[in-house]
Amino acid sequence: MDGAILIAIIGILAAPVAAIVTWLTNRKKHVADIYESISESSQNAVETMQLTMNELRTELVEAKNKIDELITENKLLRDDLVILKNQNQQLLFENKALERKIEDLSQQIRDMK
Amino acid sequence: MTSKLNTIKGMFRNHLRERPFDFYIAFVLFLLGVYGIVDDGWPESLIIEEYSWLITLISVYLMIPSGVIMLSLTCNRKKRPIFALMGEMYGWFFVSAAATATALSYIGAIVVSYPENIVSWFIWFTIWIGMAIASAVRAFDLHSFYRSIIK
Repeated sequence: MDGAILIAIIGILAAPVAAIVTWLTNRKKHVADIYESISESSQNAVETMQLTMNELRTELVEAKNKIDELITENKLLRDDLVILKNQNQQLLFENKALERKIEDLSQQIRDMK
Repeated sequence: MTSKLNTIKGMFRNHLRERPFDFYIAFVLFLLGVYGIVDDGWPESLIIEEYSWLITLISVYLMIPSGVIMLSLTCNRKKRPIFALMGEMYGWFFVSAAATATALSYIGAIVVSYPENIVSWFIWFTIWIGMAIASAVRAFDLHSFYRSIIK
């Protein structure tokens, strides 16, 4: 085998060993960085969740207010409907009374003839 | 026994299913490493008594990192995040170095003497170069991920 290729092979095989030795030398710092990153990401996730929950809470309060408004409007509409129903019944009575009067008048006219 | 089975099932369900082909490749490389140690005459293109130690060294480079990759792919990432990331990253780095070294030794073999079966030589050379590139890409991808999380 060519000497240059052999040296290249040994160099390539030594590269990861050098990298891992470097990493092991600075292991504590790297591990601390990773744990710090994990802790930061967890904290960010918690903050994001809290923000989302607050937004949801605000939206729920708004939705509840809208529902309350709709319930009030519904009650008013129901009261109006009751009033209209009473008026309608009164008109029906009046109509029947008028019908009776018309029948009486018609009878009187027929008797007069 | 049941809890052990559940643990193994958990490994497969939660971690291994994300990268099953990585695990498979690592397993094949592990077997190749074992075979390289057991059979000194492999790879055939490199049967040179003088450099049999090189084949053994490359086999160890294939076997141990592949085992580490398999362990890092199956370990609990929440409990061992450092090992899961670093084990896989340096595992692929070592595999890339071993595959590159094997490809170079194929070139070295062709420099010394023209191989009897050039097609077989070319296929094996392509496989090892491909393996070297793919594992280097994966190692650098993990390294960039590591850089992105610590910044």
